[in-house]
Amino acid sequence: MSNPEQRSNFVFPRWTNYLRPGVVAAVVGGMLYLSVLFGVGASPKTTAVGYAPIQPVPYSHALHVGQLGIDCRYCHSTVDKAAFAAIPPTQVCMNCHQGIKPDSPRLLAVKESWATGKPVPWVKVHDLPDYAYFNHAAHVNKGIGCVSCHGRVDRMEVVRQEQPLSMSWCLDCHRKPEEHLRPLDQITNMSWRPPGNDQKRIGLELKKQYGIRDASYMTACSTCHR
Amino acid sequence: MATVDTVSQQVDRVDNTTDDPTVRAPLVLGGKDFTAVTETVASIAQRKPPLAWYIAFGISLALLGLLGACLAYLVSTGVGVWGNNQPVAWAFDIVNFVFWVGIGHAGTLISAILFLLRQNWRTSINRFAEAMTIFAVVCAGLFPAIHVGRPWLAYWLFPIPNQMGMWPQFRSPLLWDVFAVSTYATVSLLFWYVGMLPDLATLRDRAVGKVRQIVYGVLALGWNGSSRHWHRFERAYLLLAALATPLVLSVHSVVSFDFATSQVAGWHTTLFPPYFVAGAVFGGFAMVITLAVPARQLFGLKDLITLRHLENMCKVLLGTGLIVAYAYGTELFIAWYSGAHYERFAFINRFRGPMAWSAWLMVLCNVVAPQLLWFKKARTNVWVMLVVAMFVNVGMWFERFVIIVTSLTRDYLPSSWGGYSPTWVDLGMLAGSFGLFFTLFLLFLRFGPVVAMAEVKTVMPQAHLKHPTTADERKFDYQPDEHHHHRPARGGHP
Amino acid sequence: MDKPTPQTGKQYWRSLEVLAETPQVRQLIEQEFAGYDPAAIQSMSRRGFMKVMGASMALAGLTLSGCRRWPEQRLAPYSAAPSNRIPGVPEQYATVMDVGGVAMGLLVSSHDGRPVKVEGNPSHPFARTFGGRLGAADAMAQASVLELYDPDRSRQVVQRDGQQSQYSDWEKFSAAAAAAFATLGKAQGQGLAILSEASSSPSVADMKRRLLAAMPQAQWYEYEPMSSDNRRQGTRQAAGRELRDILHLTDADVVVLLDADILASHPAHLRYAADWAARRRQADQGNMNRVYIAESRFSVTGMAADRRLALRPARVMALLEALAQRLGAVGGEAVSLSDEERKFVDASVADLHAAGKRAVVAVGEHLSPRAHALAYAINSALHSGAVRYVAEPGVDRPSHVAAITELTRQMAQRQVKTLLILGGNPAYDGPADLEFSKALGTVPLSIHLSHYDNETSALCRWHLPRAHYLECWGDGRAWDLTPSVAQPLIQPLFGGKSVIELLALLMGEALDGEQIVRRTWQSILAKDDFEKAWRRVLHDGVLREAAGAYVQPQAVQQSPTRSAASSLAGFDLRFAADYRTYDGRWANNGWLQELPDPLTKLTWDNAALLAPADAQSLGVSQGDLLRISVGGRSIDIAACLLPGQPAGVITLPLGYGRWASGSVGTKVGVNTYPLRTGQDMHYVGGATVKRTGRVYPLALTQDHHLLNDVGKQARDARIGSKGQSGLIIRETTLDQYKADPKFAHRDVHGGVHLQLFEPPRKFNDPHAWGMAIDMSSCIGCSGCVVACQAENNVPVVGKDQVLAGREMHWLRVDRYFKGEPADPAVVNQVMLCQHCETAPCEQVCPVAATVHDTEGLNTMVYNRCIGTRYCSNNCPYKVRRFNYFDFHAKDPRGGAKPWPGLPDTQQRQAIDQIKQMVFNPEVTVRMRGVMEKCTYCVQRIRAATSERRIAGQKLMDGDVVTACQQACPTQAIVFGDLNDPNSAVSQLHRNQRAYGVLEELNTQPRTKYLARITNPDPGSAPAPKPGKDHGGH
Repeated sequence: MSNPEQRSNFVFPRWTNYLRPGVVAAVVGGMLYLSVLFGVGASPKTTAVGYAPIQPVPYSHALHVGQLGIDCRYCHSTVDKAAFAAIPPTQVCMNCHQGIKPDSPRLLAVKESWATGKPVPWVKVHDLPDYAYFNHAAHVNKGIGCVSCHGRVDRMEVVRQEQPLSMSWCLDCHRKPEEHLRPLDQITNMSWRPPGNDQKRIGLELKKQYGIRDASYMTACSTCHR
Repeated sequence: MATVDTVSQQVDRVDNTTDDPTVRAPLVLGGKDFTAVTETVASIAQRKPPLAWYIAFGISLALLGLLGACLAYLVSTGVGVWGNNQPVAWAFDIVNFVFWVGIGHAGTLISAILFLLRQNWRTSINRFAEAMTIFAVVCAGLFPAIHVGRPWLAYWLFPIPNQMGMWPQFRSPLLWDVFAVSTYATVSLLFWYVGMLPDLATLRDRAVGKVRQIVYGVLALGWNGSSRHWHRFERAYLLLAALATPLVLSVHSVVSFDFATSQVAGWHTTLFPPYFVAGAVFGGFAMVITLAVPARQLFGLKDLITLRHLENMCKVLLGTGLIVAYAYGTELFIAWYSGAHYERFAFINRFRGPMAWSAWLMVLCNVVAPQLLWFKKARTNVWVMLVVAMFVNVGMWFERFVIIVTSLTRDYLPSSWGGYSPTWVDLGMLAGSFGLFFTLFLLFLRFGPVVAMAEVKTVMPQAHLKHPTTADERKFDYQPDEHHHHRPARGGHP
Repeated sequence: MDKPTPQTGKQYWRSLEVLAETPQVRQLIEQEFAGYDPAAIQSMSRRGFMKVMGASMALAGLTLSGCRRWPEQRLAPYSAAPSNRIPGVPEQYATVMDVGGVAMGLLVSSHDGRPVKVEGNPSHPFARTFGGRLGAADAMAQASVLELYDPDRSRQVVQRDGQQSQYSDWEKFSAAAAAAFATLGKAQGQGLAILSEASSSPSVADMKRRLLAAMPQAQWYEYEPMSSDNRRQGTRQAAGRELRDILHLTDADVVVLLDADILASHPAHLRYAADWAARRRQADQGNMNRVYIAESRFSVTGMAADRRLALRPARVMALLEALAQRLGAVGGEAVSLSDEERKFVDASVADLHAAGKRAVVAVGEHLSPRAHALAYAINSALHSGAVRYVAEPGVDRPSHVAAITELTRQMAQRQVKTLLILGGNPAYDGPADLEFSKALGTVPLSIHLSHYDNETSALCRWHLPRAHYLECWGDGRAWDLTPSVAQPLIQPLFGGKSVIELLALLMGEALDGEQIVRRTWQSILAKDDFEKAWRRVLHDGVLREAAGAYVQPQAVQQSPTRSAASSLAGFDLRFAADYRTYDGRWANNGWLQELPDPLTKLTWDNAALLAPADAQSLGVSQGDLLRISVGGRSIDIAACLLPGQPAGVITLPLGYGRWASGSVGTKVGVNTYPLRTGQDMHYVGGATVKRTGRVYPLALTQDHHLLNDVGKQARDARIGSKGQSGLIIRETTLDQYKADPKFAHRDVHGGVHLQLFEPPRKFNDPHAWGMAIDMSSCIGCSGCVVACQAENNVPVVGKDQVLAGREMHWLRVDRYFKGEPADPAVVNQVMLCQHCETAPCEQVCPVAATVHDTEGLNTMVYNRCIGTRYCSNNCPYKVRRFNYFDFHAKDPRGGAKPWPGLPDTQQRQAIDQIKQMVFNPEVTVRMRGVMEKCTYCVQRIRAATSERRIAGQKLMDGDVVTACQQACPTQAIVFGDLNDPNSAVSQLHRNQRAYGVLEELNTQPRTKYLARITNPDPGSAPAPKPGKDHGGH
């Protein structure tokens, strides 16, 4: 390229050679970065876990469950009978709070509800998609403890979502339920540990005992979707 | 440079459609030398285009706009805006898809297969045949994406890790399509672009104005014609050609699996892969002719895209046309021979049912019309071949329509037999897809190297000066592919 | 409602929605109490609360949204929980629905206070099937729940004066009424007239008695467009008293019917269908009944009969006379019969004689009194043990026609000062010659209690919203007078009142519905321990021991036959209640409008049903608009060619062409009442027909297009010739069946005997679900279609979409005519997802949205489906349905509109709040762009399974019942576990009549069909075909 009128043409000048590694790095790195960004950013672990909305009543599970040791089923009474673990009627609160701390300002919403008959509008924390049909009773009666999905509620001042509740998360357990099974009398026990920390062994025993079906059934679409 | 003149003068007087075994017909006329070739082609990208171009471009843009409008309406309202129904769940959407994929064949076929077969005459048409391929595949890619009920979830067709722990279903031919078509698109694009490098460089060197210089410059990737560049270029081009060749066959085979592997009588046949490929080549060449004839007229490329080129394409058209006709026959025979009631009815219904008109139109266009091309007079008359090509374009669209829609209208249970009629959105999107295609193509005509200058030059006699130019001698040893002086010839490294 | 947006960065991720579209979110939160008037929310009462709860539950199962976090949802627990209710667990209540003076026993499922599914009451004698395990309900009863949530139902008291009308309220009305009735009371009710629709309710009767006691001068009239007064009159002639005939078809070997559509139109049709089918199912024992029918239209019963003769109305009577003479029930001059008529009579008489006590003759409710008298005489002559009689209640009233005629006369003579219309819609369905509407305008004070502000309301001074039967207390009596109590499942959504509540209001009695019903039942139930008995009735929904006592008075000698010279000039018009809209009262019900007519498969319309022969002679083809004129009146109505329609007769279905029905039913179809006069409410002769030259689009779900010859040949090869098997339909006669029990498997293709490959999957699960459908007992009544629609949230698409071939019914009834159009046989084939073990749909889905589960269900995962529709193409049964639009959000009468927002917000925001309440929360509501299909009611399978498993029990046969099986009155559909060799379905699959449709495609369907067996008399049986080759080629 000696003659001058051609030099006006755009041919990559020599110094651009130094850019090459940069370009490669940018392309490869950029792709990696983006995939990681979306992989992590869009995953339920990021978007869902830790969701702790402000509730109309500053009810503390840490106090009632952790310290006072009220059993989950005292309030969520239908958890072992029905798909839907009932949110306690105002009545249930009043059973105790007629007498205990009747004038506490934290109870205003409850007492108003009791007076007017209007429900207390609790904010839903663990919110599955509407096309996923989860049945509390089916799980609770087959040895899945509350803590497995809801975390240490007995330590929560404000209830927060502990698990991603994503499909793959459900499937993990549906493939290997033995890793989470526990005796039926320990369902609501938040601090239960398998004897000798041998979850695998007891899990497999219980799996047989509860007659839990194999993974192919447990992971069939119709198990959760209709 | 006397010799050059003599050559050009001789060449001038040749009717290059004759097939005198003693004379190798020249592929470039009008006494063009290298400069002239470059001048003719490159100037297209530099001169202001003729009025006809603006008119054509205007129309295409309008149609493209229509496509956009239809798309918006479709996505916001639902695929119900089409005429699809129960039992005809696939109609114009998939017909258009298969049609455009088919068109997308000729380009790579011409550039890759003819290249490997040393068909020198390909050089002056392969470039925009390739362009046509790319643009056709763009149109084709559009339809599978939007024909689904929930396009915003179409990305589930790709194996992307996700929180559902779900993968696509690899048994589904529709998924094979996704891979086949995307691979084909990628390779064709590379093939096209790599082949363009020298010519882009030429455009760059002739470019006036900074913007064009830089754009062409960047696109040319710093090509400077050094023999090292040429060497690498040759290799790359050869490899891509080898890579593209099997794809030409695979893509439409895979597309045909959508139907061949299904349960529907009239779809379910092993004949489909070869039949579809032949049909695709058939339709593709028809489209090349449809584009080449006006283009060479418009941009004065008569001397590069000579009558001989067109005639050769007509021969291919006739050949593939006969294969298609044979396939039609085989289909009918097998249907009868199978003895299966549903199979037989599918074809009886095809030609005697309520939608028989489309089947007969298909036969007229794809079987009857091409027979004209047996006659040289027809093959060498641009108007005749243009009309025939148009017929084939229409015919090939209707072939897909017949296969897809007619078979679906009456399948197994008479209770669910139905009919089909397109809505304005169907028609709008069909027209719109042509708008998209021609907009892209006209832009390429306007700004790109329409003819592969570098390649054309290699098949010009001037590229082989040291050889005697009298016919009797030429016939013994003219083997352009074995020469390495001046411009090294294409790929012939043993 | 407070606004939940703590706007912190931390919150941002999980409430993108909130930041993005706050107003929408606020709206969504308000929707938690789904838009019902705050008053309802204040109320602490159980049902009041449940409306709220229900609505928010209805929002569940709405979207199929993608990955972003969906809008915040609120949980609304009870303030004070009612005892023994578990949120989310459906409950069932027994009740009854009264149609035309006969009550149907129902069992209604309620999800959190929302009644969502109406089924038959298993313990009700006229609904029970499967030996009392299940109960059947017909299409209308099942669809009535949609009427409950119909946004068009009137929500306000309306006061009208001439042209202008204004919204009022119950206070204003009761004030006005109190004044008026006070004066009326003084005048002994002089000038007061009450026009009531027929009612079987003891409470209404009681209130009527009290009212007339208080106001003896008041006139109480009763009118029903579909009346059985002819029977009352006929039985009076025949037996000296008014009787109701109750057929016991299980005891009948031979049934001869004259224009009697006992399997579909008769008030007791559910019971009759069940009993008829019980005898069809004995085909394998070779002990079937035989049904003859001579009719002046093509009815559902006609489809099911073994020998059918289509005649003009006059000839039906002649035939009956002849029959009566031959059986010695009546004397008189011989009736001249045509050849085929004589053949019919010979055959049936022979069979009747042979069967003796085990034979019965029945005539249509609408036939002339003489016909009923003859029927009574014949049955007594036969000493038939298959028919019993109970005394007809309410004998003191004039016939319906006489009643409304008299009322109109009095109104015209200004004798009526106050008119109270309880239900009904006489302005629309009254006899055309009366000009009731004109007279009604002259009444100074007219009050109409009605579900809708309809044609009649528009002419009254007051329109009062009526409470739906699911909203109020009431009672009713079944066909055999068995009494039942109707209890409300939800508070009146729109503040309506029931008939008895209104009467109480007007009579100044401060009683609510429950108190009135309880007062009435004091006299019905045992005095001692009333409460216990009352609770039992509420629980069972029926008091069986209180059924009417059987009586059989001596037959009075009938006057001998007089040959009536009937003129055959012009066309006979035959008025019939429509199979969907009945007399028009269901016109605003989308489910029924879109339910294909069992015979014509016509939706969203009625049409003049015309014999193909007549059509040919008139040069009329399908859809031509005809002008039908008689007696100076005329209507324009589209022609619909119906094979088997008697020549010279045009059937005109009633119940369409309403002009004030609501957004669904107004101006749908053609009003045929204008041709129907008080002289004869069922027939009129001498009608003229001519073409208007215009063509009208008829939305048929089958035979969308008339077949050309090629199509006809192929269809005939597939369905077979009359009485013979084809490729997809297998059938034969009882005699041939005995001769060749394996006939169903003699097929040139055979099954797939040799497998090239191992079957793709083994089903090693404890359960393997399967279905069996008996084509011998299916009558094509289409109750299953509505059952499926109600259970599975199947949308209504509208006429335009049916015309486009996009109806969404998961389950359809394929109706095939066989033989020549003049005298066809009909086969009904219920077609739904066959749940093929090697399902063609599954291997082509690119995203694995339809796959098998281990129990062999071909599951359809809506939330995974992207809508390529490939599965539908590849389904040889074409049972898959695609949501081309958001059909739930689309107005069935209008086009689909673009939705600017995110696609999955459309249903939440675009579907009417009230409409949303009808959704079954156990089934996902599918959005636009998603494929759907029959799931074998997987939600019911899961419910039963988890219930048993939680209780630690094994699943028993009969635990899982699909919606279609539940609704089927003839038990033609049986579902169950194929792994249990003793289950009902396994036994049926082992039956030698069982075959899989298109099994030669190796789809290995889990649904098998039992070949159809008919039992024609030797005279009419089709000749057995030579050779065993069945119609293939």
